[in-house]
Amino acid sequence: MPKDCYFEGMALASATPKPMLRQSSDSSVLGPSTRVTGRVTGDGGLRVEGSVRGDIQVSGDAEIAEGGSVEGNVTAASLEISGTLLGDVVSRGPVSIRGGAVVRGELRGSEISIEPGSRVSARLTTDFDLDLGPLPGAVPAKRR
Amino acid sequence: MAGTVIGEGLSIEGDVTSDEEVVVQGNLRGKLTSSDAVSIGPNSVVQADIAGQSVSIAGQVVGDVTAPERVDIQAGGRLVGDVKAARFTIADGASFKGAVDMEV
Repeated sequence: MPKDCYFEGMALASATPKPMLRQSSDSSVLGPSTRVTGRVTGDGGLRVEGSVRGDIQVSGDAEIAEGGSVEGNVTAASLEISGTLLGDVVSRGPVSIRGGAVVRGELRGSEISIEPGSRVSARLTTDFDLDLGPLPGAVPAKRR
Repeated sequence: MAGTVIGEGLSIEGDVTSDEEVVVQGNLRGKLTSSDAVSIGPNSVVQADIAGQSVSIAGQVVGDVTAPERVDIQAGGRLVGDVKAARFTIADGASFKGAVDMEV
């Protein structure tokens, strides 16, 4: 059952993001001075250090590095955002929003983490089931 | 290490402009402009006009190629389009169809 929540404003809560896989050799890099206007699709990972105006669809992990910006929808195995993203995200894995990132759009992922210092205006949709039962071996505590 | 790498398996449909070295190993359709070197890898298919400081082609390119410095078609490379460059080489085993303007 997807859990929806709406979030706007400065992210204050601290979250521990999962370590991301580094790029494999078949991955692509769009350097800081590189600007792409159009569709980017394909296999492997993608790191955007420059700017992309258009949709991105990759089978691997995607990263919008610090200083990088994407205006368009992103589909990827996972997504790490340290730059700017204006657009919707569909990720099979985690979506990590790092401190300093600016994100506006609809985010769907297996889990979504937002670091302090990021500016986020987004609808978040995650696919995990929230387990409200007591933790094994722990005293029952109120969670959420 | 090149600033921009369009890896094998990646396709871009649209315009790419850059001020750094661009290596294309995947596919590109549109336009590619860089003020630094551009190289088109052996397995890549590019349908685009290419402009770079120097352009090296080892894959398949359909489009006009312009470089103030030089254009090199490597062995196995294939270019269909016009070349405008101060220096131009076609390696043994490369194919080329188009006009050449060496700005003389």
